[in-house]
Amino acid sequence: MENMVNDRSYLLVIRLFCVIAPATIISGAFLFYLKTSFTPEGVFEYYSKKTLFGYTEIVWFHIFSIPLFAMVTLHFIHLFVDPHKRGKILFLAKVLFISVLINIITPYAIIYFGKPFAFVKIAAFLVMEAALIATLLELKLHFCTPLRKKSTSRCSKPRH
Amino acid sequence: MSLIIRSLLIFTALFVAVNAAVLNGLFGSDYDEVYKTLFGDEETFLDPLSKESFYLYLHTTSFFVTMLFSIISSIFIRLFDSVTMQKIVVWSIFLSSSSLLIGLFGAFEISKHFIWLYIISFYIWTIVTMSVSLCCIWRTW
Repeated sequence: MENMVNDRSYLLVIRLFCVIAPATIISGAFLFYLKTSFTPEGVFEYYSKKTLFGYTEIVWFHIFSIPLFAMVTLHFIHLFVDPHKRGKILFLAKVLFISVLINIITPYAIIYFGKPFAFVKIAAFLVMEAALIATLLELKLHFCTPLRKKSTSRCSKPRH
Repeated sequence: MSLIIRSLLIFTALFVAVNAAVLNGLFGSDYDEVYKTLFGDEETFLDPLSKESFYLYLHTTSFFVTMLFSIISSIFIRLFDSVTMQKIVVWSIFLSSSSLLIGLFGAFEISKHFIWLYIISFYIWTIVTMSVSLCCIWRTW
């Protein structure tokens, strides 16, 4: 009984997390748009002006925070979703972490090798945003139906 | 496990305290100070906050409040069995976090009156997250 009660409270946290988490993704995308206009020219202009240290300052925070954000979101799915659905989550996790890595590396390539990598940066950024939104949608679709059905059928006990 | 959670909570409480102190100095703690930070002040030749700087601040704030919401709420649920208390804590952290972000966005983009929402929800968010962290530390001791 206690586990079920805790499940229901965790479900509330997950539901509300799905509401508040998009703020970070949307504000990040808008900030990227403000700085680069989402064009290869804009991306090249923005990153080519930066020094190695200037860009490393941006990397410094994001290299920790984006994987943390992804880990928290994926962790919520992993705790509650049935084991046979793990393949989809694993795929999302791989896409997400690889796109984050490419996102972080490509600006160094732009600084050293030039404009062709601006296309890669935009593509990687769009894939990362799409993967983050897909992860949140997966959470939302799984947990945002009536709680009475959830607590017995689709929501298993948290696997710690 | 309680040692790990306690350590995390101690650092969370410290973060909330330092966050309040730093933002008090950088952003201001009353209507006039926040207004001057966002929109500048001609008398003191203070420049308004640029759109990029504002969205950078909104982006980092939304990240921190989201992470703190998920971490503190999950720990509280694990430590306290009362469902009513769990709901009160989860909803109060969520509502103060979301109104903080809405207030900040609204103050810059919609109306200056949203500054009040930002200030009030910032104080409530700080008090609630600090209190919940301290309650959880006390529980794990």
